[in-house]
Amino acid sequence: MITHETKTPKKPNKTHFQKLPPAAKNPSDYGFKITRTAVSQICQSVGFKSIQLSALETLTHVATLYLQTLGKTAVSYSNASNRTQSNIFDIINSLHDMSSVQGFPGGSTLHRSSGMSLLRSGVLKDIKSFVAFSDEIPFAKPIPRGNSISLRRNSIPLELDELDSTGLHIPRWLPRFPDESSYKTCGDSWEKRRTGDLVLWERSDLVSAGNGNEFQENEKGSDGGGGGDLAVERGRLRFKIGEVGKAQKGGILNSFL
Amino acid sequence: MNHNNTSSSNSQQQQSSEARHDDDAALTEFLASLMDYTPTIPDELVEHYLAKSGFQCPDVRLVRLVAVATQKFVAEVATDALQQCKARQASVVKDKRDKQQKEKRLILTMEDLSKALREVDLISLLALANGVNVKHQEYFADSPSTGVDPPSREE
Repeated sequence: MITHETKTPKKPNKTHFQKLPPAAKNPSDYGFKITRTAVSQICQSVGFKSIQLSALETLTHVATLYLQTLGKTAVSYSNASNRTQSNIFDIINSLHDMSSVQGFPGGSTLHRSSGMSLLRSGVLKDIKSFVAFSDEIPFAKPIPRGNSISLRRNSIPLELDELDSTGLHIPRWLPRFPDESSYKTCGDSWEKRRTGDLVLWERSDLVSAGNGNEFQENEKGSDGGGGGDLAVERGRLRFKIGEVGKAQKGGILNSFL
Repeated sequence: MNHNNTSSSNSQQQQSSEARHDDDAALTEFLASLMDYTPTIPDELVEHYLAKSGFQCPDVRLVRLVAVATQKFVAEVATDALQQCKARQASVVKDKRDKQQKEKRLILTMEDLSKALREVDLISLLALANGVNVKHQEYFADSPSTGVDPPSREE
């Protein structure tokens, strides 16, 4: 009984352990599978006749990691010098970072002369000789350029007139400008209000009073003007304050009585 | 003394600018040669992973450069593993002759790969991939003038 009990928990543990690595590496990924093919091609070119699946997946994972780290380091270098686009020097710097663990020729004089060391980098020379002396093995199959992650996917197609007038200087990763109706129609209505028959403070007496001629012209020619000016001259009005006060008093008295 | 210094520095500058021009030309030539070279890792894949890491560059040559660098890295690890494999087989063959036929086949095993990957600092790779700054070692000493200050070297 005891031996049986000890056996049963061991078995699921083993299967669990065997299942874990592929899940972590996400082999269902299309890019991973392509990398796996490329890595196996490289292994074949080196001289291997066959390869363990676990070893292949590990090496593929490391290769992917290397590639992404190379890109990320280059991006951080370009961002550090206020650029969004990376150039060759960012890549060389990032290659130096990646190979600094093992060391490389010229690594000791790397920080002495800034520009020179990048151009005559030992890492770059190694890559040069690799390109010159290694056999060219193209990828086994052509890859359709489909829905790969690219900058084009995220950007919204611009209209032609929009491309002509504006938008060329705007980076494509930025969100799109709000729809024209949200700011253009608003401007139109504002224009209407300005040119319509509403009287604005610029045309009111307060402002034009400073200019005597205009004021007189306004008085003479204002037949059907806006609400600011009177159309017909009013008759005189007289107010008798005392009577009102008496009436109020009387009213108040009435209400008291 | 001062005059001598300035003239020597001028000639040095001229030399350095000439050397720089040569390096520039060599770099341009190398980048141009990448246009004709087809790396094993396809451009599409490299572009995919580079775009994932935020890399923006319209130049195909730089994508090719990254592809070639990665290919070189993988090839180096594989070559190292092959040496491990051959060394292991040589030791095995000495012991048992009859197993020679079986072991002669070159198989990349996890055992050899892990030995080859010992050279690669996977922890710093992972850390760099996750955006952690890694302190670089300062113990390079591949040139004879490494520990010497520039002014004393000029003298």
